[in-house]
Amino acid sequence: MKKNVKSTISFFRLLIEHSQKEYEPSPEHILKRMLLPLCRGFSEIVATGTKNDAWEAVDGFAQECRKLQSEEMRCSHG
Amino acid sequence: MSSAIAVALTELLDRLTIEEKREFARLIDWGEFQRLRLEAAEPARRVGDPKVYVGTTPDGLSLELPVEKVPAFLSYLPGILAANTVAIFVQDGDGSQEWQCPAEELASWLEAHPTAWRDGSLMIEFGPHTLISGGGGCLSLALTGNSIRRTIAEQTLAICGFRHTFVGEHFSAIVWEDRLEVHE
Repeated sequence: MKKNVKSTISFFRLLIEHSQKEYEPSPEHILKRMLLPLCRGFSEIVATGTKNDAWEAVDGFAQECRKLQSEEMRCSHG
Repeated sequence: MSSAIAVALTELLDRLTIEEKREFARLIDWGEFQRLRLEAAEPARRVGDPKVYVGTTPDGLSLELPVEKVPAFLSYLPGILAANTVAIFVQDGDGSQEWQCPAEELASWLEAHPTAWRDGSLMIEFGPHTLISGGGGCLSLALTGNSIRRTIAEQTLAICGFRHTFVGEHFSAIVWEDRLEVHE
C-alpha cells in the first residue's frame, strides 16, 4: 500500500478516535488536525494515484467502519 | 443536543402529578424513557482541547501533547518500539515527500523539519508500528500489540511533566488547567 493511501486511511481513523473521547474537541481542532489532512490525502490520490489506490483507500475506510460498528455493538451489549 | 432534551424531559416529569405520570407512561416507549433518564444523569462532556490527553484505542494510543513536547515524544519511540530505521511521510498543500533514516537520526530530522510536526500531515513508520500527526501535538500511534501501551502512556505523561502508573488495559489521562484526570 502506498504511503499516501495508508496516511489517508490513518487520518480517517484519527477522526473516529476523536469521536470516542471523553471530551468534545473544538471544531478548529477537527478541521486542522483531521479534515485538512484527509483533504490533502484525497487530493493527492485523485491527482497522482491509480484506480487501485482509490480502491485501497475506500477499502481501508470500510475496514475502519467495520471496526467502529463492532465496537459500538460491543458497547451497547454491555 | 439530546442531553439537553433529556434534562428538560426529566425536569418536566418531576412536575407531573402521579395521575399525569401514569398517563404519560401509557404514551411513551418505556425503554427509550429510561435511556433518556440515564443520559440526563451523566455529566456533560467537556468541550475544548485539553493540554494533554493520552488514551487507549483499539489500535494503540491516541495522544494530544503540547506541540513543543512532540520532538521529545517522537525521539523516545524508536527505542521502546525497537525500530532501527524509520520511514517518514510528509504531506502538505504542495504534495508529499518521503524519507528513510536510521532511528538515531530522527531527532535531527525533526529539528530540520519543524513544520512537518508543527502543522503538517506526518506519518512515521517504526517497523510495523505507525504514528500519524495532524500537527499541533495531535497524534495517533497504531501498535501491533498492546503490551507496551501503558509504558508509552506513562512515559508520555512524564515528558509532559505528569506522573501516573496505569493498572488497567483501557485508560485515558486528561490534563485540564494543569490538573490530571485519569479514567481506567
